[in-house]
Amino acid sequence: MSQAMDLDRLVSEWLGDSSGGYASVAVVDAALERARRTTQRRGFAAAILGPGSWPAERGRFGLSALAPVARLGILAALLVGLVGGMLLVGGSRRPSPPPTHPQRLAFVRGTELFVAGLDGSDPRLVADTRLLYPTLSPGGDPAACDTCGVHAFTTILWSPAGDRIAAGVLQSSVGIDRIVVVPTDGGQVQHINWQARFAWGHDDVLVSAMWHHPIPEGVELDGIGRLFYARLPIDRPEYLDAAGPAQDGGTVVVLQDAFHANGSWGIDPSLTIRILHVDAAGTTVQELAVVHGMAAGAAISGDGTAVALSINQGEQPSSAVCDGAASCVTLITLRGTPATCSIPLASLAPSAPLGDASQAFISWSPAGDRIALLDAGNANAGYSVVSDACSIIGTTVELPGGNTWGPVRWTADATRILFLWDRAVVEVAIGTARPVVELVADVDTFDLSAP
Amino acid sequence: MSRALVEQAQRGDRDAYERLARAAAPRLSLVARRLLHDRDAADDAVQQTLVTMWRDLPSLRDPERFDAWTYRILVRACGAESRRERRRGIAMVDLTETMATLNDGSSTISLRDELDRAFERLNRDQRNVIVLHHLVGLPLGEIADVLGIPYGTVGSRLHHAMQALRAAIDAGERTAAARRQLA
Repeated sequence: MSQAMDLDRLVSEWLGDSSGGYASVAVVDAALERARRTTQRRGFAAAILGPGSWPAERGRFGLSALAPVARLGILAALLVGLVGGMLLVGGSRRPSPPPTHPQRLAFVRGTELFVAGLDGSDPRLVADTRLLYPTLSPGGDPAACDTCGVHAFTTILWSPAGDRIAAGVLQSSVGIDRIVVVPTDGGQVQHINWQARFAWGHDDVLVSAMWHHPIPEGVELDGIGRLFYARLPIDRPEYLDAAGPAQDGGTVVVLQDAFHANGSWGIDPSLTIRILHVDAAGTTVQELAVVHGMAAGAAISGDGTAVALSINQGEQPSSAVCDGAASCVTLITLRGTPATCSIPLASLAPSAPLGDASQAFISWSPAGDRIALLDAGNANAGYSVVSDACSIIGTTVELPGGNTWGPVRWTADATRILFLWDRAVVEVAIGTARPVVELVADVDTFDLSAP
Repeated sequence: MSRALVEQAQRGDRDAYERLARAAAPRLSLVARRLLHDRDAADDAVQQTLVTMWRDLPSLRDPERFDAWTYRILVRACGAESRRERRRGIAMVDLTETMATLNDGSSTISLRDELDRAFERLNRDQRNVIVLHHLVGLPLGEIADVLGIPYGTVGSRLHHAMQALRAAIDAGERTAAARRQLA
């Protein structure tokens, strides 16, 4: 049995230990008494004030996806609009903007991997884990392993040439343990084994690392896993936050303390973020910079000369980081002597400060001169675009509630970004957001015009 | 859970609801105590869940998924309790389980201790996913529906949470090995 399976079982047994007892009869009786004084929500009251039907019939862009206060607001706005519309006659329609670049979109829907136009048009199924792994039941579950989890694609990435898509396959709860390379022309799918017990890093990092360090076909990915696990000087619980190519063919790695020193979920400024350089042979490791705080997100620029960190220091920030602000984006230049500059995140979205979340996703623009930041934990998802000169050149978009999680992808012309919001791919131009594809789990783009 | 019983409760049958509530309370309580790790807060969350369950039962579209729906309500109630406790600035530690663990006399004490501490350090989102997957046994797709988040998000959170737990255990083992060597 694998180490991963052992941990799964261990955690299940530990959680199932009910030595803490159950709620007393008095607690249940008190709840029932309160329920007796409560009426059920039905009809109009349920539509306006209720939580919305569950399970939902469609994506979260409907009225039921909004908070009751927002629904009431919309109702009021509709009434005002109706009256206003009756007073106005005619109007003008703006034509839709023409498509810009011939980009393609890859996205995951459940166990299926699709390729489509950038606007979600003409979706084409290119792989299905149920077909890749015929031992699965028709529902997609493993036929004879109830603790293995569900096979599904996670983390997809276009190859540099745009002819293949690398997709991690989530089999157990510990992360990717298999990577498939899917040709977009319908050719044979290549399977690459991945030992999940070595997967210390973020899923996206693992797949990115594969493309950054091309390996001969048929060679397993174990080497990359061991590179990060065995050869880095890890002497305490640390995450691999990001990894990317360095200019000399080596790898730049960002490591983060796994836990807070104070033992609670408050952010501790004493946490350490280490930026390391590993040479191409994977034998020499050099510490480039050390930053304090919690790295909510990290990204290494395409040329390996800069690292963008979203840092959160909690309620007692250190003045040495973020200039005393609780959270900021820090850009660290790795050329010569490391240099940094910080942008306080609270200044980007005063109504819902970014950076309070435990996770942020950062992506460098194709030219490497800007970053997009997606704050993944706030009720209001948002993004901001900043320049590497540490000045803000974009605005923040706040989406109406919902969850956001996953990578941010730039369009080739760097005018828009794509990310996941609830189950949709959302396209964001400055100040606007619209769904492109609904019910998806991951997304990546490829620019056909790229060399 | 009987579909007929759920449908009766949806139509306003209070007796049916009370049978559902009494049957659901133990499993909800177990989950709440894992999510909150504080008995009183967990009891409050269970109580709120049972009341909300009655109030919003008509919004449950598929009675077959009653159990998952109650976990959805419970997770939200636990989140509200957690925020309330944080605003009060109260940090309560329930020693019952700790003492039970210490008294069990098994060789897994330190391991459970590491798990306890590591679990406490996870954020609420990660705890939700771990508990729903490893305690309740929900598959990832069902968890995505319960929490209202994408499937990939569930996978990511579970992945990171398990990484953190494993990192804690590994660090504990390394420390123990180092001590053995020094001895």
